[in-house]
Amino acid sequence: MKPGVGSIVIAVCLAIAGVLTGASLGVDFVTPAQLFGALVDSITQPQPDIISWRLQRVVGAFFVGFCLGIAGVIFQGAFRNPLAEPFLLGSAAGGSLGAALAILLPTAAVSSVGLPVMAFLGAWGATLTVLGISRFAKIDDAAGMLLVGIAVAALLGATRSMTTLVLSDETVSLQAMLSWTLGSLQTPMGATLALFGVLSFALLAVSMFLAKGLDILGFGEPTAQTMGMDVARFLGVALTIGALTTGLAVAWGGVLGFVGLVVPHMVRWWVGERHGPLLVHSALIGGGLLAALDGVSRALIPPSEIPLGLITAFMGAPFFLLLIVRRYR
Amino acid sequence: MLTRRRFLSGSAALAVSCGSSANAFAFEDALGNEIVLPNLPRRVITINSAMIESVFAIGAGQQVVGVGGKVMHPPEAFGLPSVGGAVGYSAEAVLALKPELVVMAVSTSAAAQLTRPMKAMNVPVFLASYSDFPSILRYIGLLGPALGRSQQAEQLVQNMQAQTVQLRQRLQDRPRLRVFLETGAAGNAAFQTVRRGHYANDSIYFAGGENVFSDLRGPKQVTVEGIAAADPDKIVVLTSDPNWTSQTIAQRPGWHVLRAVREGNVVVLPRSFMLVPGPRQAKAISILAHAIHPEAFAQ
Repeated sequence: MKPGVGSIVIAVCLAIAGVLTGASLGVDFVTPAQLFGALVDSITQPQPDIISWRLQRVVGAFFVGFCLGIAGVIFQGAFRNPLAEPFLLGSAAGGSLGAALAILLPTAAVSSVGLPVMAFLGAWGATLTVLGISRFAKIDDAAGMLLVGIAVAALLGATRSMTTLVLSDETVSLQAMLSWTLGSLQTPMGATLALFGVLSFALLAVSMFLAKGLDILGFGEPTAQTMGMDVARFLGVALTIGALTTGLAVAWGGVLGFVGLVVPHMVRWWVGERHGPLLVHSALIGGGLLAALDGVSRALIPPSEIPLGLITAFMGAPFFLLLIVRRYR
Repeated sequence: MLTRRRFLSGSAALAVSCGSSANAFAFEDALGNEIVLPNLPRRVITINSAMIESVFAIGAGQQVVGVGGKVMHPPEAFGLPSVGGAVGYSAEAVLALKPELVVMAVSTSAAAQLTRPMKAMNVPVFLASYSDFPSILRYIGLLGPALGRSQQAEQLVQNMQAQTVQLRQRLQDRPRLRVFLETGAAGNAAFQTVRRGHYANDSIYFAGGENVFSDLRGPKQVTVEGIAAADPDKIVVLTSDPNWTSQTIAQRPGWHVLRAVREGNVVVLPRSFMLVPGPRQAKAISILAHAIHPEAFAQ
């Protein structure tokens, strides 16, 4: 389908459908009419209401998926590899280390910062480290940065494992740590949710400035250079914005695999290769998908919550295998 | 709930006979393995806080020559030679202390790392196993014959049982309150809890409560929505974070929807005390009872 107003309207409708599905599912099923009634009630006569909590949680899930969709497009474009995902440059390992410190080290300093901020600092810091080392080593191609990313992720992963082992005993919950790494929607509410939404849209707007460069990079680094692009500089800027977007998603959603990989792919089949439309559609579809899956995670075995990362992995891994088979056959 | 037969199984285990042959010292561990030693073990290594507490509580502390894992209680155990901890356990460090018996719990990393090397080096191992409250009584009861402290172990088990019975009598006129026990939190996303089969589930029952999630089928974690649907009368949060209070818990995003929060029925207790499956569980149950039914202990 050719991207345009029509495709954006469809993507918005799918996103709204995803949010409504997520908000309807849970410990108890709520019809859209009941949802609307609760929304009106919460505006006219504010009172404690679980549907209001659920709506805010699902909107939070939407923005996590929204950011992962954007980051997936940026990383796949920057690495010119459709199998790239947002966690390539160490953000998952860094975010996990930040979360491990927040959960396992209950000191006043860590508590005052809070888990989402610690996870964000870890994810963001890890990618900045990769980019810093790449710049220091004068690495100007995506493949070299990828290798640095693998090494930094391995180092941070080992540090997290060591931290977990050293700090774990009866006084802390390893189950909580495991839960975070399997995907963990932090349920931002009120002003925090609004800030998350504003930042998500701001990052989409900023990433749109990368679209043309990512299109040019698609012709290959040598071609891009002959077209006047400073590839190393562009990659640094693109990956910094991609990492910022990933860090925001990690802060509020934990490590949710496959969303940033699968969604841009599906959208690419739909609206084509140009990165402008790809970014907008991936953000909306990623958001809608994660909002709906959050509902599934709360509704499958109520009142237990299945970690969202398990659901994205169960759905995303077979899709990933399909991509690999299609690519190599 | 606990059946009378299961509850008494701890006492029944004390009937394990000592001495299967004239000069040997024989006993059984919690997995049913029969262990035969030439005589009473006087050099014992005990690993993980619950085992350390149990061995000292039955009066066998003098026999302990080494410990492993985090030592939390009693103070007499502090400073004993260590054979390892969370990062790993050293078979060489164990052997260097020339133990006649190693006591550890089957579900720990110590057991995974040390059981096979100890078997290869002919060092006897007592494996404890615990899940619910009766299983704690059972392994403590079995430790008695293993360490030549049958009478003390039996007395400890009886005391622990008696304390729960006293609590039950004290609370018999009180309504059984529905309790949500939070054992961990992944930020504000999911909250970990326990279900039937865990000793903390039994602790809630003995303390005059009823675990709202005792029949949880899926992962042992719930969201605010799940807690709201269960509608507990009381919320007990176990943490080691010194900054957590009932006020900070009440201020968690979305928690205002919970009736227990609105009515001020949130209590924060130390995780490190409440979740050690050893002899101090009786005290932990008492603390929980005070938290769930403070009015019963007001006078």
